[in-house]
Amino acid sequence: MDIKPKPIRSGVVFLLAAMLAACGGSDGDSIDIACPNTEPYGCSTGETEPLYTFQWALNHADSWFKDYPEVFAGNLDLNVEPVHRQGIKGQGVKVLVVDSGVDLQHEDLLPNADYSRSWNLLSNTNDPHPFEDMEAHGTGVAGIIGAAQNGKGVMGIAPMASIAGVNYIEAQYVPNAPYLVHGGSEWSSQTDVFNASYGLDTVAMPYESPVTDPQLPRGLKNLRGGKGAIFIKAAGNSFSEPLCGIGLPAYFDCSNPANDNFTLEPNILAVAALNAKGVASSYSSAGSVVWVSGFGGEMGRNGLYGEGAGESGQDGPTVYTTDLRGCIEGYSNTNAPTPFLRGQSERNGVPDNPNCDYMSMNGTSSAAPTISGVASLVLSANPELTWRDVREILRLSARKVDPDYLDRIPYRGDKPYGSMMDLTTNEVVEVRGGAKDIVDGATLTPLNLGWQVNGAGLEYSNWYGFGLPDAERAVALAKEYAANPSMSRGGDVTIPEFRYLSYWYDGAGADSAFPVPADVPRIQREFPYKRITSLGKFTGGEQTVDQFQVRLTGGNVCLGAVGVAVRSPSGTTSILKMPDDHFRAEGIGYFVDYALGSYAFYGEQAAGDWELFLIASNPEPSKLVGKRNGDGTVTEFMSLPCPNPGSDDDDDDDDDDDGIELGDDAYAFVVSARIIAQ
Amino acid sequence: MKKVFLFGLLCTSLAMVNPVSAADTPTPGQRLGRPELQKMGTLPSYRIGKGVYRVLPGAGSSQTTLLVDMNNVVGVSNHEVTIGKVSEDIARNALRQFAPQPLQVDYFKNAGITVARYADFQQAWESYQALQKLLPDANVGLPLRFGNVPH
Repeated sequence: MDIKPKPIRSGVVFLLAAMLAACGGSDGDSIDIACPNTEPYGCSTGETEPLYTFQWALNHADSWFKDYPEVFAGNLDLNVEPVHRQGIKGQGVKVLVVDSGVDLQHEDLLPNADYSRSWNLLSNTNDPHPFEDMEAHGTGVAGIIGAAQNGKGVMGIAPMASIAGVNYIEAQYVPNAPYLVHGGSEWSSQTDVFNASYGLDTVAMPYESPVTDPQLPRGLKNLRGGKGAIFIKAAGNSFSEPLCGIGLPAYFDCSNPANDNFTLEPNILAVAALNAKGVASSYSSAGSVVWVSGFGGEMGRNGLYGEGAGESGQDGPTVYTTDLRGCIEGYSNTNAPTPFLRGQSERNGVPDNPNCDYMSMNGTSSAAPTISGVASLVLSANPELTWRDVREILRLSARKVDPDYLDRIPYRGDKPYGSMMDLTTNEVVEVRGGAKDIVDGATLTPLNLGWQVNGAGLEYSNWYGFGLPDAERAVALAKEYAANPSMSRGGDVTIPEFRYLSYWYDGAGADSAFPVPADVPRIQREFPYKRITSLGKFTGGEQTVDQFQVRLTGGNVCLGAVGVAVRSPSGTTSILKMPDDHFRAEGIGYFVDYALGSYAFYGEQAAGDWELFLIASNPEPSKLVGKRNGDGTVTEFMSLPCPNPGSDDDDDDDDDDDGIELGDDAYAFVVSARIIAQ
Repeated sequence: MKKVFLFGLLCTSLAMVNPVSAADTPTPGQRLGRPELQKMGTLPSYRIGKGVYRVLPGAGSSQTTLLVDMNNVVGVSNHEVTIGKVSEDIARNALRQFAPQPLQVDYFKNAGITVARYADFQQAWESYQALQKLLPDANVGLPLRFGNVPH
């Protein structure tokens, strides 16, 4: 199929586009006004591209999938068509896809390819094609952001953005790679929008420690002439991992996006995933550092194009994009699960994907580039915006989605997400809960708090952040900022040192297991598992909150049984970490400067007392858990005793050579916190 | 066989803490079991910040060293020491004041980080210790990486 672009005549573009959007229409090609974009495809929407009908994130209402209500509903998309009709398509914006590498010779990427800003860390050339792994992930990400509008294949959300790539994931241990990739090289320093569809959310990494210097992500704020680069990061795919139980319903995220240190930085925007029904993708990691949501779809394993519902009821379409060329490499190949991915589907006698050059892809890996695409449109409309402006515009444009998700019941579950967990048994119980239930001494805790209105009047959800950005609204805001530069916020947020709240300990040597200042109150007590316990209060100053952070250090404490909640002076409560998460599977018992964050308080006044709560579950009940293998199979095992610093039976007296002088009957637990201010 | 299109999800799972068999080569992000570690004998341990890390013998490459943290999760060092919050000149001057000398020193202006690379982990750790004393106002680091995977 080779659909030619239709001429667009646009004039009072914005108003008309808004009217069309309000009508839900996407046939704006008949606008009788001049198009400011003189490129061949001018102000036409993606209907010029043969696979556009599958790109439901760009046009939900007219999608091929609309006849499959079991997997496709809600009529939510990114609302990019009104922006495209204005001729705003990402022109002038430089995107760097930090990923597995990118096949820039692809017919849909080559028109936008910028080899001068690309790099291959293994071959030391400017061709970012995957060098060793032949992994298509980065090529898919690149297409979601910036596949060209050229009458072929798919169209990116910002189809005129300049696209560069680097094969960081396969070369991350090359000397200097992290510095080179994050703006420390000629090629990366020119970047306006970074897309990072990768991460590590399963290790309790130290934060602001000598082994993890946050200056790497913070240095991104010096790019773009001091306006700061936009860094979009995938939140993770760990919501329903088998490490939290085989065959068990997932009531909350098995992991935590905050486990990836980058997401704790305010200039790193973590993106969760929505499916084609406009609700959280079954895998999408949830947590209080999520900024906004994009589209990642479900699994796409069934049907011709991923439209099949599957047995789990969780399936549905994924995100269509570019693939490594050919049927040998890439996700489209002769062994792929759907006819489209095998290059075998056709419509009206015309093959859709005869050369396996296109694919569909899921994960927050796909959701992040949908937001990178929107950010590119925003910067295209107003290149003077700072990183803070773009972050704010994404938030301001975001729509609340899935408002009643606490009432829904998870796959395999029999109680709503809004239920409570009994901390003495770790079982979900038939009692609905809320923020008010997080009090000292309670033995039930809410699993999710849903959408909450904070003291600044902003709605936030751990599942969705501030919601789903609307590209039309975001670009309109970008133009408002251009018209009124005083709206722009330069400078940086204020990041103070962490302040210690408490040092709990018990047993021999535990009072000095970790170095903390002498004036930190030390309390000898049994560790309070199976209940909620106040960790103490933290006094905020006369500031406006950007993010609240908590940092934990512990020895012989079952991290997988530790949850943390915070209540602000305005009365907003946020759960920063749930207990009974994946750390329980292997009995993780040591953590140093392990940090959590929350944007639920964004915009609130910080002054007053903040209360921190420990939500500690029962560390003892064993359960069947599993780890996925490379071939997709799951190896099952019983969760290990917790805490379990030596990883197997820890029945000795600290002969595990872990370097911390704590006997088995001793523990230490240190809590600090801070408010990052706007 | 090629990876299927769900690779993003599968890879995330690969990064989960994985007990590995003795025959496996440890990779960053994996968690080693005690039997594997015991077979390696007594491991040299290093305190970095509040944490203690043990070097895995014979693992890594000429440019890298594999270590485990206190939960036996594998990380990798590129034998780098980082110096932040001070100028490049101050960092380079400090680096000249003690032996051994780094193989290479790079400065990354946007992040304000000077990176000194050493021949092995022991040298990097000694430099880290010395620089902490020489530059008490600087951010001196000895980065360890535990791996990134596609989401």
